[in-house]
Amino acid sequence: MWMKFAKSLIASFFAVLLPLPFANACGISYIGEDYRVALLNPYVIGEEYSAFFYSSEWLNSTQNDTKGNDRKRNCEAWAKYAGNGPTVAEVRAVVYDANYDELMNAAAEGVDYQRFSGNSFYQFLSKKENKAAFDYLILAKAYEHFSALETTDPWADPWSSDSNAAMTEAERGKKSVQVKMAKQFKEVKDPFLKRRYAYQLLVMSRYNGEAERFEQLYAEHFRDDRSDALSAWATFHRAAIVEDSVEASYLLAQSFRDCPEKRIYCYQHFDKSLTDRALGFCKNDSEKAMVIALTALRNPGKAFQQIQQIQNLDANCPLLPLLLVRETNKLEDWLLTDDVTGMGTAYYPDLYTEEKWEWNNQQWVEFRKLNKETDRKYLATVREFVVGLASQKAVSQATDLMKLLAGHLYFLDKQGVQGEKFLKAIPVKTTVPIAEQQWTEQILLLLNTADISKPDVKAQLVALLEKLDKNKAKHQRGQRDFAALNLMLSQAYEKKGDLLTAFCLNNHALNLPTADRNGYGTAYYELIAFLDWKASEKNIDDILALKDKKDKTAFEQYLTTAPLPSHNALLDLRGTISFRKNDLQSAVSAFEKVEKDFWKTKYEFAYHLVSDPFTTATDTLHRGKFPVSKTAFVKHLIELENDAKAVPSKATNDYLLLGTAWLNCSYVGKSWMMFSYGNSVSENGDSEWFAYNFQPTSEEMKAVYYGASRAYEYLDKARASTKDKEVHARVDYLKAWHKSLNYSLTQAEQDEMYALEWDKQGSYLLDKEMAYFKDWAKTYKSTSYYKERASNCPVLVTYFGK
Amino acid sequence: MKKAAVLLASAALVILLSAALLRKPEPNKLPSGCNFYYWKTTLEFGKTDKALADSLGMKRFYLRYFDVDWSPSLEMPVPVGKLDVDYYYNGIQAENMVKIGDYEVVPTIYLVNRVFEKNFNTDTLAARVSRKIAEFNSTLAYQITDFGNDLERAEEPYDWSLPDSLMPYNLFQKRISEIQLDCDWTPKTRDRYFKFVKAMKKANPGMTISCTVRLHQFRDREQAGIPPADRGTLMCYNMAAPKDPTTLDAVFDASLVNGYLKNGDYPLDLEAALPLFSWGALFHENQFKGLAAGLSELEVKGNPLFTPVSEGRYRFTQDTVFADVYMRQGDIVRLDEATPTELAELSELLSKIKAVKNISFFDWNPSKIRNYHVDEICKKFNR
Repeated sequence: MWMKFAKSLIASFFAVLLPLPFANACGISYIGEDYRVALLNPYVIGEEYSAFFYSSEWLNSTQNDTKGNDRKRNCEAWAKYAGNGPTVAEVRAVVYDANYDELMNAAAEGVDYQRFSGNSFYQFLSKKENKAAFDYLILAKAYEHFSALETTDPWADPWSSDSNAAMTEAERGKKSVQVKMAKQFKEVKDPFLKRRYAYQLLVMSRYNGEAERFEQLYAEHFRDDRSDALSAWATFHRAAIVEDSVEASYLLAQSFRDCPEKRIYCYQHFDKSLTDRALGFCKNDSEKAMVIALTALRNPGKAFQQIQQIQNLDANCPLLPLLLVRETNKLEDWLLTDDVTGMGTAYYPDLYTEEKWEWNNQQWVEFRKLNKETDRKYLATVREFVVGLASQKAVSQATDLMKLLAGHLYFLDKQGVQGEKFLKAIPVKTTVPIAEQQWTEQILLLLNTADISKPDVKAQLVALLEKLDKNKAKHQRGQRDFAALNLMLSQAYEKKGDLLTAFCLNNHALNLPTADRNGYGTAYYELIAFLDWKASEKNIDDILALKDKKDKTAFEQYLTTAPLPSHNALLDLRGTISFRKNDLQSAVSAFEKVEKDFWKTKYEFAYHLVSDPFTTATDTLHRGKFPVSKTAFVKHLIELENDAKAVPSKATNDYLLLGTAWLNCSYVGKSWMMFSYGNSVSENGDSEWFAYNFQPTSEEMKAVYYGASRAYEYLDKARASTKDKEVHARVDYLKAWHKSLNYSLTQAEQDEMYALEWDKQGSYLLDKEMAYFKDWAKTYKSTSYYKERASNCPVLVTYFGK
Repeated sequence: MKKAAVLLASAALVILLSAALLRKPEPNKLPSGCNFYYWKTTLEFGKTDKALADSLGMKRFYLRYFDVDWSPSLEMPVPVGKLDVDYYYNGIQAENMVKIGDYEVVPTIYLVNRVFEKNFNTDTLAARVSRKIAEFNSTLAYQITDFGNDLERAEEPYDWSLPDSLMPYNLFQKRISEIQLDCDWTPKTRDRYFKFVKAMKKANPGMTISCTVRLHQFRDREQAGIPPADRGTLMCYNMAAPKDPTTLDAVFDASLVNGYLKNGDYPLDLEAALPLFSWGALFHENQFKGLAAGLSELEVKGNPLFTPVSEGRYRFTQDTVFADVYMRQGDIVRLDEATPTELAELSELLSKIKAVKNISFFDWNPSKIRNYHVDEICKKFNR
């Protein structure tokens, strides 16, 4: 099945190059996180809350923090129990990193068990006198094992394993463990172990729905004794079993703080509609701040008011840095994602849709502008708040972070000088993530305040980019963020008219989806797409010169390490740019430098440049042969042009051939690949579904390619050069043929057609097409050319007779 | 007529080419090349890795798919520590695409010796292991194929005429012609393990089944026995007990090599695996405390945390938590690793053993490959 899928995927990548219509059943789509712009790395606050970093998805990750304070406290308690010999890491290796089977194998093999070789906590457990402790851990692991049991046959294909068998076994296993635990709870004297057995029974009563038993165990062992991680976890379990959903929300908010390994559950089950009532359960401002913080965390929109409330209630609320970083990342998404990628903000999915299909729909442009104006005002509000925090000496909340955020928010608002003040205030000795974030900030500062065309600024930029490049794999979305930064720089250089630098930086960012690279391209085209419709011949010469330059500066070196097209591909593009402008001598001079076999062996040239461009083929078959190379073809065009001017008697035929050739090099012709690097159905229509990046952008080029204006010029010259009705018939036929193919139905016509029975729709379309031949048929019915066309085209006969 | 001749010639060429591409290496035949093991649980082998592997002439890639351990809860051998080959393709991650499609991957399975101390049906296990390997082959074949836009091959045209059998994912699977079983079997588990090896041969007709052979198994072959495999890989490392404070170097001890290899030839054709790994064995008052994986002299020499005691041994200068172990001032770390010279000499020594047809390295580690001058060792051996 995978194979089939893979093949169809490959086929779809290349379908774009076929001059054949293809089903519009599906297309390229992106997940918001693929293209969201985030220049502030949220890891500046560490990894602890990474699951809750701002994301266009519900959660940034579904991994709980397993290195948090709760587990640490529990490991410390075990280490203390073992006489303070073992380290937390040694306890963790046994208590958390090993599974049930591993502990059972370890128990069977004793000190010989390789995995715990040298582990002093394991050595402690292996001693005969500590068997009760080891037994407890094995039972606890057994309960964990049966609670998560997915299969009773680990060899089976996970998709076809028998889940009923696993459920039955899990139930049997859990019951058996529960009986043993209950027995141990009664018998064991050691208070350390007794408390742990109590906790296990409490967990079981939660999952068994035994509320009364739960409350009894909770009251007896955990309500008043808050000395360890077990009591924090017991409170978390209580949140899941209490009937009052308001109290549950209150407990979940407190457990979010105290139980890092349970945070995702707390986040998911916290009911933010009950916030006001949950505040009633709070015993102090700190608890209130947690309830509001969780509400803010569940807020995908503007959470500033809640942040302000938290700050007023508890300036030391542990979630405050996270919430401020989230708000900054939101602002970046709302303000920058569209500017950089042209795809709007990262799509926030609902339950059923996760991907974005319409990224450049023109109807939203005005709203995007409007939204950005609002967001810019919001940016100022958030920034002022952060500036206030960063300026207060007494603020205990990671002061360096506040300075960083203040600077960053100023840069987002394009106020470089003010931002720089805060950046400079961060001491050299700061955390590693903040130090690393400053590389990005320095780039933003240069973008805001410096002349980026100056060599010394370029030298500074490259030094920073190289550091970031080395660092980009460090975090989940580092590559995306690095690409976005390159693209921002590319856009800045393009604004300054430096297309060479803009191109190379753009190609450093090819992995970032944008509206201009909408995924329907080929790798070949991706490399030249930036240049295709905006570069001049000189731009291409500059790139070639830079590639060949021996003593490159560090900045130039960086530019040329981007994925770049080969010399041949660049020369081919240069020739194509000239060819499109009908500067045939210039085209030849570039094409002549391309290696001989290039068009035969590379890309899809040999697949599409097949037919004789001087022949009119009005069906889908190829006829004749394309000249030996693009160079030979263009040289022939030059000869025809010269010949037509020098020998008037040959002008009619020469212009006919030139007109035919240019018609073949237009969108509907067989040699379209002389003019464009891609071709697809309905390119020339209005539908945004078919907005491909290989399409011409200027009206002039659209007229030449879709409107075949140059072909018409030559055909008209041929017509004007003779009174021969046969020539006129040929010229007018070609124009009618082109118009019939180039026509798109208006919306009204589409409605009219789709209102018809399915089997009538083909005839409707044909009627529209053949209407273009009506006058032609009437005028030239008596000519030999009419008969020639009629013999090749039975439809003509059907509509207009022999 | 001329056209027909051209067509015929093209068809013949396609058939010949297909035959060459699809041909499986003959069992027991060891192609020369600088081969590597990959022992991590996540497969990360990108374009820079491939460039290095190609420069070394790597042909085979021994890829650990999973381990087999005993599950006391299910009372059966189970697959554990599976290689993570799940890969979600998108533009951003294309840079990290796994690039092993051009090599002959040898699925390698580590079987914990305790499994063969238990009672179970070896045929059933062989069938399960074989099926799991086939699942991995198929998943890997899909994951390693570039379906998107490979910028490095931007100019290569798509071959529309390529038959399904010659598609990269099919070629990748067809190139897999060997399964390697890795187990530190003992005289006690030998019979059951060998029975399993035979069952694997039966379950995988046409495949070469190879087994790793540890140095003590090579030396003490009368007690250890010769595995009923098509060929073997002699693991030229782990020469002494790491926990023993008197051990000179647990990974590689040149003084012990001759003793291990004194019996000379071996009834199976062998590839010899040389160590490209190191660790620091941590001791507190001569009591083994754990291993610091990957530690080598580079990290220790000149580091104020350590002071040299004797060759390969350093003393901790202060209390610290090192590799998750609490080390006290005065404690010792022993660096267990081969030196580049030792590896070169070992390779020389192995080239004199008739059964040793080729060498490989354990495991893939670009920086160590460069430090140890693996290219030169390979060239010298294959000369």
